Amino acid sequence: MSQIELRNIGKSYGDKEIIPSLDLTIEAGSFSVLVGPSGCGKSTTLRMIAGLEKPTTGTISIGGKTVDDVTPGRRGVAMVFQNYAIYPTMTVEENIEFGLRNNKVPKAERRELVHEIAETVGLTAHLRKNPDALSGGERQRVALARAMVKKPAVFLMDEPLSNLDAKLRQHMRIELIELHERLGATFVYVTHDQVEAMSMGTSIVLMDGGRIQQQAAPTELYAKPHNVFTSRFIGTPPMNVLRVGSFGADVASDAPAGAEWLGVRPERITFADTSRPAVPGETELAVTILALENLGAELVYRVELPDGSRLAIKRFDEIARPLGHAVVRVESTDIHWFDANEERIAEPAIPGAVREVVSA
Amino acid sequence: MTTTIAPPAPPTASGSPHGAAASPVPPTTPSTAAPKIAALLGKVVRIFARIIVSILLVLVFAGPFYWMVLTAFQTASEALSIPPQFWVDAVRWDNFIAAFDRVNFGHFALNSVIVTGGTLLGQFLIIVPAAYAFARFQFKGRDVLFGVVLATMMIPGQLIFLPVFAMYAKMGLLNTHLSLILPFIASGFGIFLLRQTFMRVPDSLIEAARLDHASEFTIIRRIMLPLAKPTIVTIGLITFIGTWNNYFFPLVWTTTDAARTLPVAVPRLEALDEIAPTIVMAGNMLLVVPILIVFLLARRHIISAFTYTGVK
Repeated sequence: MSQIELRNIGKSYGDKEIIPSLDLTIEAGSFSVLVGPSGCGKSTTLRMIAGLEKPTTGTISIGGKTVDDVTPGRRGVAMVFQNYAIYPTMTVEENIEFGLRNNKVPKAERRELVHEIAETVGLTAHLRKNPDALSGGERQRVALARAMVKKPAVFLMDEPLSNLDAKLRQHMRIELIELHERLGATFVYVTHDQVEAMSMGTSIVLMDGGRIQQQAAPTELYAKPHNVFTSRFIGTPPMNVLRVGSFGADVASDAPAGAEWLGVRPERITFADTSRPAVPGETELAVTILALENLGAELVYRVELPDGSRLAIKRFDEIARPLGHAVVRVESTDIHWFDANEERIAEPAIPGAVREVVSA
Repeated sequence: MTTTIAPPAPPTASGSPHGAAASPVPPTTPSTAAPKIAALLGKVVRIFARIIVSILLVLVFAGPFYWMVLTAFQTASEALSIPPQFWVDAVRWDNFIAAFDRVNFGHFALNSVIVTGGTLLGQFLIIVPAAYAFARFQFKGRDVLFGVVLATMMIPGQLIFLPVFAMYAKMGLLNTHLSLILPFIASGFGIFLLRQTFMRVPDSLIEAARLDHASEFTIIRRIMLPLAKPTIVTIGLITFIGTWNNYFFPLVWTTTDAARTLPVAVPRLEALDEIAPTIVMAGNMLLVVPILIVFLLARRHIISAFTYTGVK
């Protein structure tokens, strides 16, 4: 069990500042996912934890020990690379064994460990093969086995699934979750894919521009985004973020002080049920349906409000509505408020407004 | 070989020798039969042209070589006979014995082996770490230093052999094997070529090895060198041939026979009073045969070195 702490970490390449100042605590035993658009500093952060990059400022500790001057091989971490980085000059067995051999593990013990791991990941039949005889999925397993065999306290993974096809990727996601459960080690996982982040992480660290935008559990991140960036990063389609006035004067007058933006998730907007009048706390909006995407399980509508702003609406288990005029309803408790700096404004204290958010 | 493109066959295709082959085709208009015959004719012409070019190439490259071997086994009268004789009746080793009588080949051959082996060994000891450092490390002055390494390739040896000789004299290195080895072990060409190969190895491989707690030496030995094998073989061959055949430096940097090598010894066979091409050719064979053996051994790697496209 190893907690990872980054204190005041900065990283620049020459004059180019990638990470200004980062403070991050990764709980021992967590499955922490660093996620964000490319260039947000997530890979750099991971590589600094691994010791492959030296931070310009700040200090990193793993399991309570400062590792700033510790070489990658001595940090007690293992890493899985995006392109697997399997040594092409060695057989599968030698690949898995390499780290143990460098750590001077006796030969008999090495053999035992390698075979045990090969059994776990299903590579026993391939041990004598050269890596170029393996498929993408098998190479992925070699990379995992190579990391696991060292029994590290921390697993670092840099987009390990992005080279796999969609089906295999989904399968490996579940395997990685199970692996995390079984090993109880700390996993730090880098991805740009919000689905991977949401489905695997116990803690998500959302980054942009070298800064942490929000660190939270997946449900929290979905329910209470700290700012507009976070609100729009999670969810497909992303949250509708509009000017406060877009929903009409009534909604605008309910807005908390300082609110500049309002946000509603596409799946929290319903089409008005004409047999039931709107209840207090519900806002009705007249919209024009412009387009419809049928994704099988769900329907995504693109609609236009009277002031010309656009909304996405996601509905499940409904028959497709015709394009043209429609009325939609939004509950006030589903509206998120953001100030002029795009930061979240704390929930207005409406009694009974707290409700469980069902994640999509 | 643009000449092998066949001219379009004349419409009177039946006149060509391949007209017979086309005859089973049901009689149609000549416009459909002619292109077929033209294609066939073109193919034949192409094959013939290829054979002729191949024969010419073999003559150009293997001809002189055959002449050397032939002469080495002929008697003096056979070698000088007109018209020339292209074979021998019996294999005679007389010329080789005569060559050994005239010059102490054993001594020179041993020198050649020491100098060539020493150069090869020393060279790899120097260029592998140098190329790895230039390819993989960030350090102050790296690019300037690499520029200096490249610049050494552009200085002709004939320009500096005299100062080097003077230096050897001062250092007491004259007539030692070391004097013929030292200047060649820091091969700028070798460092350059190997650096290029090392730079093509993906960073993540080396990073993975560092995370696997491998030392830099282990990374070189277990990952970089196996991946660079074709380049290593190429550099080794070029060095071997260059050193083994080197005539100029072993001649000018020595004052006695103590460290002189085979290429210096062979011309002595000519310098003797009687002109004996058969004995000279026997000496040449002693010089060339080791190179042929090395080529045969390294044949597989040479092919992969020249078809080398990159590290997987």
